Amino acid sequence: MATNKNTALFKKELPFPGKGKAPEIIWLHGWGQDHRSLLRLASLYKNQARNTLYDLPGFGKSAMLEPGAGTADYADAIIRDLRKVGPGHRIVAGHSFGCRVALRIADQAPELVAGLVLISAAGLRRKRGLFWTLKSLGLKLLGKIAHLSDRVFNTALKAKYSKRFGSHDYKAAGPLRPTLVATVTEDLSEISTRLGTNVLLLYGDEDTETPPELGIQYHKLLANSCFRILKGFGHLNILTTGAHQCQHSINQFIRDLGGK
Amino acid sequence: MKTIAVIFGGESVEHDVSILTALQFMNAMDPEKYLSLPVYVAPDGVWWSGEKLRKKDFYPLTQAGKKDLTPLTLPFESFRRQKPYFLANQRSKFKKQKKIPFDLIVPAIHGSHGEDGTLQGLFEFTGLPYAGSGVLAAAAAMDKAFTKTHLSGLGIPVLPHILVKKPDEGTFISPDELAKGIKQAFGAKPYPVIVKPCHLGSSIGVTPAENMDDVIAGLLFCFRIDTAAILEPFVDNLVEYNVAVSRAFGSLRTSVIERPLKEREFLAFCDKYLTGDKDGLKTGTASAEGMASLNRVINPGELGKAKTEKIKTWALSAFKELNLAGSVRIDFLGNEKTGELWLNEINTIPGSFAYYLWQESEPSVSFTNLTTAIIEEGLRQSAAKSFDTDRTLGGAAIFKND
Repeated sequence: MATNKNTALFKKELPFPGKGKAPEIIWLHGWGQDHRSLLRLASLYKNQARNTLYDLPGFGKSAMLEPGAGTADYADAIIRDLRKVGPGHRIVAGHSFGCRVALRIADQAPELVAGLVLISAAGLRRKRGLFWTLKSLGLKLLGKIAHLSDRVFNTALKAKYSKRFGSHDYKAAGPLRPTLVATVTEDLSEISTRLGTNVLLLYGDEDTETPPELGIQYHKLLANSCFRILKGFGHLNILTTGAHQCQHSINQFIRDLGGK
Repeated sequence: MKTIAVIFGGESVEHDVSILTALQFMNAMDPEKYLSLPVYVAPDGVWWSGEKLRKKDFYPLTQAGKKDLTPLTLPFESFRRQKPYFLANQRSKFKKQKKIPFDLIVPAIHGSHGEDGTLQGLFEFTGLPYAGSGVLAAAAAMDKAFTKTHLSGLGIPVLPHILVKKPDEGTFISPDELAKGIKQAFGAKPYPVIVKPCHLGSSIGVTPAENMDDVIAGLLFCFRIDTAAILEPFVDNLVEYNVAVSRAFGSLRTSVIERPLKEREFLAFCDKYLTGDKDGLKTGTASAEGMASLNRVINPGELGKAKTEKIKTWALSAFKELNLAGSVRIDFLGNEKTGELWLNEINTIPGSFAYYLWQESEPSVSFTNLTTAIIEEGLRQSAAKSFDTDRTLGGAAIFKND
């Protein structure tokens, strides 16, 4: 996939009151969000670390990549920007879709990454029951029929199909829809298996979008990972009401990284 | 793993603020060390427990919501020789009440019947281990008139005040007598003055008064929510400074000083608790974080080294004098132009446990570490309270066994 190498990226750098060495944290948000979704958590580190929060391409104030760009292209865009800033080991912290990009960054440019913090990470296939599999296959078939009908008979069935069966993210994706489609079917197990980076995995036990079972899978695949389930939090409020428990685990992770 | 009961809500006008504080506390507790047990005291005084209580959108408690909860009772027996427990009342009369054991209770009720020593008295009577300030400390700090009178004796500056007690049933406030008292205390041109409840926080019921009619109106409102009110002179060029004090980290410490930013002349309830985020992101729950979400200036430069030290020294003196515990926030008022400062009030259970002040301090204390410190201090304090109560000691036994 050819990507626009001049994509303008918006990033918010939190003012750091200290002087001298401090860990650098790069924050990558989830799908449909922008850097503000991570401000609550990142601001807990404003006195301890240099924090940079990106708007990923196509979200917030950042320009889009080429249509259909995948997570590898997103990672490229961030890596290019990080290299512009200079060398150095950063902690890359992602939420949901941002975790996919974070994993790609660690894979494509390990020299830039000291550790990964993956909160509610997506990117692995979930174990589904027979009913869900059959329903999914049926819907896929229906979509293909609608698509074919539109092409052959000039109908408008695909739009109706999307409106009826498309997820909230799919409906709201707009020009990013091809990226979303490419992303949801992506499997990052191969990358995870070869990754040597230290990874902290945090999941809310009430998360239905990226449930802790994904964390268990990641934990098995990743060579150096620590996995925590935070009780009482879902996919989004893990970043707000769950921020203090995330902070507690991330602090420990940063301390451990420092010792290595 | 220790079970920590967090009691919140309560029969207090600060009920809703208490819910925010308790949820924040439970959400920040270290899950590897403690298990939280929400104990909600509904506005009607009934105690409840249940998982749903952990969610902000569950409030206010509805009739339908009660079906998801279990009513609790605290048995009136001594827990000095046994692990404390609540009794979960079963809905069926044929089922036995279930014991819910716990190790410590953290009071997160603001204002009356929670922060004022009454709840602490109940815990002391039953020998229940609890965190935070004790009976006398909580009661003293809750009474603004007492606090001012007592601490001024230590050389801590406080504003002059008049204490007005709620009149007995069938009697009325005499405006003439009140006017005389106001003139005596505040001079020939006393207005404007501030009318505030004597035992409440969160700026609830605090009203400025330009004349006697306003004073009477302010007092009447105060007497709906409190048994006494105080009148203070209005401070020109008003500025507020807050500092947290704690001994929970092992030694006595003060936090950074904050100057809350506000639009109105004094920090009103809506500034403190109704200023949520308006970013429209679907992460949602960041709004209404109470005091934690307020815009503030940390270590305001205008104070300079000398005034910063003064505030911290006065705060430490007040903390030690009243034998406070937990994370306590001590609030000061100031005149920005003249630089005068006065201790305003002491919050023994401040909104959000004042974690946002500790977080900004050097060394920084995360909210999780603050909750751990408060819990561990509570456990230490409670263990230290055990003493022999054998009636034969000291030769005071009158009735003897054969």
